Formats: sequence, structure tokens, C-alpha cells
Amino acid sequence: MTPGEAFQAYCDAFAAGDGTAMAELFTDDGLFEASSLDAPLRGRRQLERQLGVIASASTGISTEIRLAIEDGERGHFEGCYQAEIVGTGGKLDGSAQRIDFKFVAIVEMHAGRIACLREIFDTRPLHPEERQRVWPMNRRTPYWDGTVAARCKEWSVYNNMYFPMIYSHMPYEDYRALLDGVTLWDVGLERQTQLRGPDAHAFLDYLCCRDMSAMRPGDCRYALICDDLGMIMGDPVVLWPRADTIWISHGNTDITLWARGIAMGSDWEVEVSEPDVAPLQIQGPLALDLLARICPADLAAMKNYSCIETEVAGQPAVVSRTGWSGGFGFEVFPFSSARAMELWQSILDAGEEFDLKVTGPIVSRAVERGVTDTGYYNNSDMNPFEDLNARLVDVDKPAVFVGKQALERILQEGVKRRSVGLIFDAPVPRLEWFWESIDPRGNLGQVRWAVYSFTLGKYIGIALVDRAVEIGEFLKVEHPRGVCMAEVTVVPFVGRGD
Amino acid sequence: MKTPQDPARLLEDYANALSRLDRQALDGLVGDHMLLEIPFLKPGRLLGRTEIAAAHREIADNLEAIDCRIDHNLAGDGHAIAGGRLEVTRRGDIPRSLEFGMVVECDDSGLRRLSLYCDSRNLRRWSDKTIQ
Repeated sequence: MTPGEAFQAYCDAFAAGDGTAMAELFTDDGLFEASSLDAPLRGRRQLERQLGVIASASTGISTEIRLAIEDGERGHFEGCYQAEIVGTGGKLDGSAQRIDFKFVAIVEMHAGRIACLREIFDTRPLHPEERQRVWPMNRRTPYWDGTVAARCKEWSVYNNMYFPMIYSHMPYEDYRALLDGVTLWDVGLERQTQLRGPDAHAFLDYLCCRDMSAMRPGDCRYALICDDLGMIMGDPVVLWPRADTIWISHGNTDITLWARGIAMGSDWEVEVSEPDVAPLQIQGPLALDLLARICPADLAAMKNYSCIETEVAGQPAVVSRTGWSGGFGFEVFPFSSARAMELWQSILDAGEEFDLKVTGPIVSRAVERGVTDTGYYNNSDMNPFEDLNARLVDVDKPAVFVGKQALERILQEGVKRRSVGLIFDAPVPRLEWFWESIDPRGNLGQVRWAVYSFTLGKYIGIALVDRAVEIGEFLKVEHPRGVCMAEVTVVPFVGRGD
Repeated sequence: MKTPQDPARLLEDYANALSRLDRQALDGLVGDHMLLEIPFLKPGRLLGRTEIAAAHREIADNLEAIDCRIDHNLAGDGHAIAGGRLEVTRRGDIPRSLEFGMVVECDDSGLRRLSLYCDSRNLRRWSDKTIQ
């Protein structure tokens, strides 16, 4: 095969999203370098997986080779690549984000296969917006420098801290890394409400509308916390890492202030505080292999929703079998953020052999799996019976708890709404605030999550709708780009292994 | 009758003149109606001797040093494509090392097109003002 034939075959396989065909064009230790890659790819196994992912992350691919010069086993090419990104990482108006650029490709052959392929191009057009500017009014996590170095370009504000959401990858690259490999998320903004003292366990039970009485040290529990009106404030994961310490690892609501306010002036013998604990999530099927390199604990023996006090990269930490991926993974809670960047770097180093990818939370996968983030604001005006996790509410549990009377009243009057899945019949833009839905009886609802599902190849969502809405019905949904129909379905949309 | 120029030689001459920040030498390589594409310039595409001379002036004024090192240079009929590495220091900035590709097309008047391929993202351009 000549360099020109090999490069043309590579372009054809890339357009077809065929990672195997691309990898077969390379020598066993073939090297691929491109301006857009975090690191070069070497060897057929890595080439097959990564090139397949990159090619599948875009659609409508065409490559035009404009100039070609060959000399023996070397070929130099100039061409133009055109494609658009798959998924909802596109423009705010929902239109697809194009990635068109000119390139130079340099091919070195060995024995009829590509030994080295270098693609050189300007990535500035691929990233028209430089990284988001931030302000000192909100805190950074202690991993900030690591997230910037990993090319984070978009942060949300969460618990008054910057939450790295989107890095300089195509959405499908992050999605595949979560499903096939391992990802590292900076979730230092997940704050811990720490409960200590003789009444810590009972006080926890008082705060939650799930029965927490059977919880023991080493356990983790997903819980729902309501206010006194029975409205959801948050859906934290509760950890009991030490006999004398309980952590409510909460989302975007200041549970610490809420709990301290309740404890102040009361008879509860409990100390409520927010320790300097900034977690990380290591999610994906290779999370165990990675973490086992730097953690002496028997992680393989850990059950889902359990935690253990141990060391990670030599730093005292709690490791839990929890996460927001809807799949396998761990969270690491170092007891101090004083050496946070050392921990970050140790995880990066250990992850090198597993092609660890630094990402934000993979919202697309979370919604596919029905994992949402229920907060005082982003799911406001919702009681827990209307949530996907309504089964966890126990108004009859032995302990009195915040919101009990209100929830009993809601049950007596009848729950009026419920959460359902939606499959949209047309592309929808990125959801920036709730969209209105109308059911066949004219009742209004709200779409509160909307993403592109890479597994289903469809746009999906989760909506809060009238109780009477049935599976299989169609809702009319109004979004910023227009109106579409959405079929009501069950959540989760896909199984754990799909 | 003019002699058709050697594209590989022209490419190397341009890279060498750039490395010396030699404006006169750079301008001397420009052919009729030449198109110059350099992502570090604003705009990134410049046409004709006047615009390109202005671009060369901006480059010479704003760069402290540049070393344009070619690894491999292949020539075809009237065009050449090379790969290599740039070591470049913009005034007031730290030195940067970048992989590049360079494509030239030429005719008997000199360079008809020169396109520099380089990842310019997050790097300051070589000209602050719009070149006209």
C-alpha cells in the first residue's frame, strides 16, 4: 500500500466511524498524532478504540485531499475536513456545531502499513469560545489548576463553587470513556455536612424523609431531604465513614446551614460543620483497576453504597462505592484539601495506562440511567412523591422528621404530579431552564432534563407532569427553537450494561 | 521567459527568511497575487504584495525570535509540503514550541500561496491590529 492509498483508506474508514479498519492500516506500534488530541495514540488497541470514538463523535464527515506528494514510504497531504459534532454540546440555539478545518497530514509507512500519521491543523476554529471567565465571588475547588490544565472551558456554579462541566472534548468522547474506560471528575463542590455527637444518627434521621435508622458505620445511603412544607431540598448521599462522623454529601443546596439552623438552640446533642473535604469521582468500568494502583484497601470487596476509611496516594481519605454515573465507580473524599493537587496528579499518573479522561459529569448518561440531581432550585416546587425516587419516602418511619406533617397532608389530598421519561420526536437544544409541556388533556407540565442519548440515538428528557399522564401518550413540548412532540416512557431509559 | 521556480527551495527559503525575521528576503519571495495563510495573523488570509508586506512587517515587529525548522520537505509539480517545528517567542511572551506543516504553490513569479498549519489556540497572535 502506498502512503496515498493508506491515507485515503484511513479517511474512508474515519468517515465510516470504523475504528477497526483504521487501526488495521497501522503497524503494530503505529503512532497517530493530531493537534486536537490530549496525547498521541500508539498501538493498534489504543488506535482502534480512540479513533473509533473520535470518528463516531461527529457525523456528516467528508475529507477532501487537495494536494498529495509521495516519495517512497513517505506521503505529505493537504486537505479539508468537514463534519459536525453529535450531541447537545452544540450551539445554544440547538443547531449543530460544525468542525471544518484544513489540515496537513504527514504519513510514514513501514512494510505497507502506516507507522506514523501526523495531522497538523489549527484547533482555534474548533473552539470559537475561549474558556469561560470566572469571578472571585465564587470559590474554586482545590483541583482548579488541574481542571484548567485539562482544558476545562465551561463551569457551572454549585454550592457557591465553580463546577467544571465541559472540557475540550466532543460529548461522545466523554460518554465512551465513561462506558468503556475511566473518567475523573472534580466534584470538590459537593460539600459535606458533617454530623458529630451523641445524637448525630438520630439527627440525620430527623433531617431525612427516608428511614435512616438501619444505617451503620461503613454504609452509604441515598436520601431525600425536605423542608417543613414537604418540598424537596436535596437528594444527598449520606456516608458514615467513622463511628463518630456522618457526612451528608449534598448537592446544590446549603444543607449545612439548614442543619445548623435546626440544631441551634435545640436539644439535639449534635455538632454540625462543613469540613475541608473536596471529593473526586472516578467513574467507569476501569475505576477499580486505576484506584487499586494507589489505594491499599480491598476495593474489589466493597459493595455498592459502602464506604471505607483508607489512604489514596498516601493521603488519608474515605473511598465510597458511589457516584453520579449510573454505573460503576468510586468517590474519593480526602480528609484535607491541603495536598489536593498532589492527589489529582497521582490519579492522573495512575490513570495513564487506562487512558483516563478528565471530564465533567456525563449528564447524557445520567439522564439515560435516570440519575438526576434534585435541588431546592433545579427541582423546585416538587415534593418527594413526585420524584423518580418516591419509593424512598417513608412517612410512617419511627422517627419524627422535618416535613412529616406536610407530606402526610399531601398524601391525604392525593399526589397530583409524577416524573416520567420523554423521547422527543425531533432534536431539541441544550436545556437551560424548564420547558413547558402540555398533555392530551391540556394539563401543563415541565421538562426538567433534556439530553441527547448516544445509546438510543434520540433526544430524551425527564418531565414533571400531571398524575394522569400514561406511558405511551404524547406531550407537546415548547422549547426555545419551537415545538415538538414527546412520547412518555419509563425511566431509566437504558439498563446499566447498555 | 522566466524560469519556473523550485517549490521545495522556495519553501525552505521562506522558512529561513522567517527564521532570520528578514523582511526584505520574505517580501522578495512573494509572487503575483500571492495568498498567505498564517493562523497567527489577523486576518489569517492575506492577498497580494501590499497586504503580505504589511504582514511581514507585523511579524518582524512583534516577534522577538523564531526558528522555523523543517524536518521533511516533499515537492510535487509546482507545490511542496513540509513538516517541522517552530520555536517562537513573541515580544513580552514566553518561548513556544509548535509543530507545523507548510504548503507552498509557486509559479514563475515566485510564491503563489503559502499556508502555515499550526495550532494557534490559546496563543497570542503575531499581530495585534488588523492587517490591511
